[in-house]
Amino acid sequence: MNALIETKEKLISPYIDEKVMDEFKQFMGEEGGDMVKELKELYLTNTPKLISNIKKDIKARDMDSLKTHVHGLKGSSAQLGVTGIASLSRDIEDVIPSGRFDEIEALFKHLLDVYKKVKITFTNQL
Amino acid sequence: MDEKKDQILIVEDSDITLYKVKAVLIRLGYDVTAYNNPITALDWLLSTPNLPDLILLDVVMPGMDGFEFIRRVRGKKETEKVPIILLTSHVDTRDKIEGLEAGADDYLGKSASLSELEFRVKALLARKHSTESSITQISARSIAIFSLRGGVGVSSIAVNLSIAISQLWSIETCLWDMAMGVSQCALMMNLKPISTISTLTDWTEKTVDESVLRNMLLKHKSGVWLMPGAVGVEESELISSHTMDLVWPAVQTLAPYLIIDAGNHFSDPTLTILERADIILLVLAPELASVNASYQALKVFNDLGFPADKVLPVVNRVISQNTLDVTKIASGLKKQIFVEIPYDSKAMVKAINQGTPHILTSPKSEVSQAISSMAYRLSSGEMETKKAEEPSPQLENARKLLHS
Repeated sequence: MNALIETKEKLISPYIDEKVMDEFKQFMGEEGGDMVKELKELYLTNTPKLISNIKKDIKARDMDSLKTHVHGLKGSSAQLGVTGIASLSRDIEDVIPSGRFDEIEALFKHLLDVYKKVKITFTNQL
Repeated sequence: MDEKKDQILIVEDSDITLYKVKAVLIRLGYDVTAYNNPITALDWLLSTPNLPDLILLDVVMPGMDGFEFIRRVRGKKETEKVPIILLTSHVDTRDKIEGLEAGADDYLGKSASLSELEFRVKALLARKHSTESSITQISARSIAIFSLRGGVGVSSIAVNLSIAISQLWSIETCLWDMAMGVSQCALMMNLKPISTISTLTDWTEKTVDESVLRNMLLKHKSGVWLMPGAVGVEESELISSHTMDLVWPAVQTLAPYLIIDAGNHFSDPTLTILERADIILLVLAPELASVNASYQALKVFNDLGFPADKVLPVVNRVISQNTLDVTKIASGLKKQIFVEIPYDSKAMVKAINQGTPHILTSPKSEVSQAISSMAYRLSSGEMETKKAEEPSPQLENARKLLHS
């Protein structure tokens, strides 16, 4: 019993709002569980691509491209209730107009750390 | 009415958002066309012979943003009127203004709940269908449902219509069961009456105020307050037209909308209420005896001096065989049919047996859609033009949605 609670606690991440996917799962009825899994798989496939694009944009100082990619990451994260990534993406979006790249880089580094944790949580849930 | 499924186009570059929104809309019973590329989507839209009923559109997309997409769609005669909801994660007012200027009809935050998505889609589709309809919108605060023959679904329509209006505008509605003797509505909603207006016979000369009626009301989880009908013949006989005169002013203050199950025969109390109601939905089955009874009812209404546009015939297809078609019925009644409710007796009986109204058990069925659309046509005139008195956030929301 204790082991079960411990495992459960490990699965709960402060960066994920479980309510978002729970609502979707319930809404979709019987297929809900499978669809949530598919969405998480899709997220784990797509996010590394977006992250690598963002990395390139920062390196090349390409504001327009950075804006689009960060915006995309924010949207897809919000769809799955990955609030940690969604809010960091928004923070980056807010800094972009100022052109303070040191700040953008610091936020992005933090975002990478959070993604690592989210990845572990999602992988465990699959 | 709504035989064809509504078709919705989603244009969204994020695969994840696309997957989720598409799944939800399919689940809600819509036909969905989805593109993750705005340019391909525009090509399709400008060349398809089957225009979508609604477009859900992302704002920030590579290649072409949502605003430009809207301008192109609005710039073509064929597509200028297709309703568009912008999907946005921005809370930036500049975005909203630009979207409105470009011609979007509504906004939806990407983090919005699924029920908000459902509500906005339904409201915009209902609005689209209502402007397509030849019958103008109606403002009615009190809607009586009546028939001169039993078994045509008066109570069922009353219950489901009350819920539909409540859901559409996120408001409370009051359903008054004044059909004598059986308390059918309470049964359909699985509620148990405590006291009924038959106890008001002692009140003769006193004023019946709202609080007296509130004690009788039964709360249904859908947002409908039920004022239950008299149980049994004895109780029914206690109710006179005088009781109705006493009750009428107070009953209108209970909720923004009053739906009355007026039963299936003429009596003094019934006529008192039918005279006061803003609208009468005259329910009939698509068979000769029912059409004949309705014709008689229309004659009585005419003799009583009711305006012709106060009475709206509703054909409820409670039978499936040897039925008359709507054109024949309309020419028999010499009156246009307001709404036709499709045949689905199995589901209706199941709903009654379960004590959960059909519109809640099967919100996507054709019957529910017909009732929702009827609810919109009966209430949108009022809700859209009404000036703010005590607007709830939901009501403001619905207004904003319909005014944009």
